[in-house]
Amino acid sequence: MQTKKYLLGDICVEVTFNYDYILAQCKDYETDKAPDFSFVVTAEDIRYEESFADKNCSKALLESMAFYRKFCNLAALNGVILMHGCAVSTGGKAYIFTAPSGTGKTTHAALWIKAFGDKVFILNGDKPLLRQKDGQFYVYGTPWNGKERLGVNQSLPLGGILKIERGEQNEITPLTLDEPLKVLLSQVYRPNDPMQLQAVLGEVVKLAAAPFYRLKCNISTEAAELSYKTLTEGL
Amino acid sequence: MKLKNGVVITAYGSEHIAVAAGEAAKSFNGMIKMNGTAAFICEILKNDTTVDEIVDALCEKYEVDREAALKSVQNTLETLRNVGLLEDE
Repeated sequence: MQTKKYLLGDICVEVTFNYDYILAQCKDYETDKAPDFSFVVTAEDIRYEESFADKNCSKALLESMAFYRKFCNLAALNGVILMHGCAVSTGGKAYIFTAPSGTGKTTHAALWIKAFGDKVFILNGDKPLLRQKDGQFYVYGTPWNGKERLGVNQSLPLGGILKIERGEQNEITPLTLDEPLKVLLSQVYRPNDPMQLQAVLGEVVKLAAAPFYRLKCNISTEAAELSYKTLTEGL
Repeated sequence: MKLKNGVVITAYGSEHIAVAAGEAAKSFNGMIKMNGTAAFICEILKNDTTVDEIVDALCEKYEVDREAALKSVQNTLETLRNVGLLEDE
């Protein structure tokens, strides 16, 4: 057993765990601050992850997933939410590309980097955190950053959210009415506990007011140019 | 009758949305949009109650006649029943 303190989404968590996987994964996020909360990742937490994870997931990886789930459940009460997506940064802002797994979030992020080079970097490739400060949402890098392990320990104001769909032609339109809410409810982590879910939902309805677009795209520089211009300059 | 445990409601602009956590999420994983009256009915349904009790509460809060109140209650109950969020009927 080992105990470490990490700063995630500006929240200090003290966590006790078994495997060294978390140690290596979260190295850049260690902190000396006083913990906001503490917990132990238990064998039961790991079994819970096992019940819906890939069969070939190692115990060490399951423990890391259990850590993040337990953190997100508690952090919800502090206004911190997890959104599944690829957070890409340019011009001091973060933009979240979201879509069901396998649609091409990371591919589209790679197109941005190819087209715009050093102006663009990936803040978090898979599971960034979001929270409000002074009425503005900020996107936080986290150690859970996807298979490709793309990300940095930084936070940046949210510039907008892009729902990516595959298409023959490239086309971008604003999401309207309930569409942002529906996207968020399918891509934001929802705790099982009603009080924690209530807290998440309170953030989700505010996040639904962020600039929100649907991009139908193929894999081309033209697709990257269209989404980049729209997100950074508006329609 | 009552709402299943875990139904969570929040204001969204001039409307309300309801989603389910925990036990209730097993039967319903979407979202219901509702007006203020329906949200009020759901709040009452968090504890075991009857149609008559809900109608009484609505009449008192909104100063509507029983017939109109009953209609709202029946509509809301039907919506909840259709997504499996009502129990102990």
